[in-house]
This record gives sequence, structure tokens and C-alpha cells, in this order.
Amino acid sequence: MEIELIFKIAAVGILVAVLNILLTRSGRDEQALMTTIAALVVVLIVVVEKISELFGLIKDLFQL
Amino acid sequence: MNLFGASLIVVAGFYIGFLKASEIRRRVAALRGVCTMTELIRNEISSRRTPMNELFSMLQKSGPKTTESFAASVCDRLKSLDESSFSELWNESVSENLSCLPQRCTTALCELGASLGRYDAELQSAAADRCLSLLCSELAAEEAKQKANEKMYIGLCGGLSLIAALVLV
Repeated sequence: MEIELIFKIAAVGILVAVLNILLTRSGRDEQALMTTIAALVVVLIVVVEKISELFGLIKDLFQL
Repeated sequence: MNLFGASLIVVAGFYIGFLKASEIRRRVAALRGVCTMTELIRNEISSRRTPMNELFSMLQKSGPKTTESFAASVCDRLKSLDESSFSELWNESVSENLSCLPQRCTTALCELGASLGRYDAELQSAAADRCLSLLCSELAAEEAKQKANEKMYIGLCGGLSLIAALVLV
């Protein structure tokens, strides 16, 4: 598995946490939640290809 | 190339944040200028009974810098006072030159324009007082939000651009 992807996801997570704190401290709780959900969706889109490969690998492995 | 693209995205994000922050600063400066201008109008009308054309040419020359274009616009439009009422000229100048102000402030200024040059000095002065108190309260609220909002927009735009750079590159 590519290590870069893990670092990318970790960096996105840290940035989103910082943005969440920034927005919450400014009194914009809904926008903080929206940013978190949007970042979650973006990370899922990045990861979905790898999940698809994992399912393909499981299918081949167990000859399903 | 990847690094170049990522740095372009990050720089663009921070630039957008700085643009938003400067827009906030400009709005506060305009509001401050309008408060000063309204106070001058009230003082001139209540103490010296200055005619409108003289008042606005004085404001154009020695009023606040941020309201110079507004005073100039009113001065120019006063030449066509026979065709339109003063409040129409005033409202056109407000929508042309002071559109960056919050909605409540432009509404209060339009209400002031309905009184200026129409009633006696005391009523005009009272209308200016009402407008000034609302403008001052809006200015205090905007100044309180200014510092937090400036940093928030710069941080938010920069952070989002960093995320976009990380994901795309």
C-alpha cells in the first residue's frame, strides 16, 4: 500500500481539524460541520479506488 | 511541476482570503466615513442652516475621504434638482457609491435622505441623529467582528486551498 496516501489523508485530517477549531471559535458551527463533512467526502473519494481494489483482491483470493 | 501547481493553488487560496479580509476592512472604513459625514451634516444643518449644495461641496472638499465620491455624486445630481426630488438624487448616490455598506445602513441613509432639504432644521437634525445612532451601532458591531473575521477568512481560504493542493497533486 502506498505510504503517500496515508500521509495525504493524515495531512487533510489535521488541516480539517484546524479549520474546524477556527470556524467554531468564530461562532460558525454550521460551516465548521459542513467543512468537516466535505473533507470526509473528499477523502472517501480518494480512498474509494483503493477500497475497490481491496474488494477485487478479496474476490480473487477466495475465488468468489 | 506538481510542486509548482500545488504552490499556485495555495497562493491563490491565500490571495482570495486576503481579498475577503480587505473587503471587510474597506467596509468598516466606509462605515466610519459615513458616520463622520452624517455627524457633519447634522452639525451644519442644526447650527449654521447650511444649504444643501454648499453643504455637499464642503463635504466633497473637506469631508472624509471614503465619502468623497458620494458627496461629489450628490453635488453633480443637485444640478438636476428641478427634475427629481432630493431624496431620489440621494438614494441614487447611495446605491451607486455606498453599496458596500450593510443593508440596514443603506436603508437608514435612504430614510435620512427623505428628510434632508424638506423639513425644518430641527426635524432634519433629529433625522440625522437617528441615522447616526444606527450607523454608530453598526460600526461598533462591524469593528468587533472585523478582527476575528479577517483572520478567519485568511485561514479558511488558505486551509481549503492546502487541502485541495494535497488531494489534487
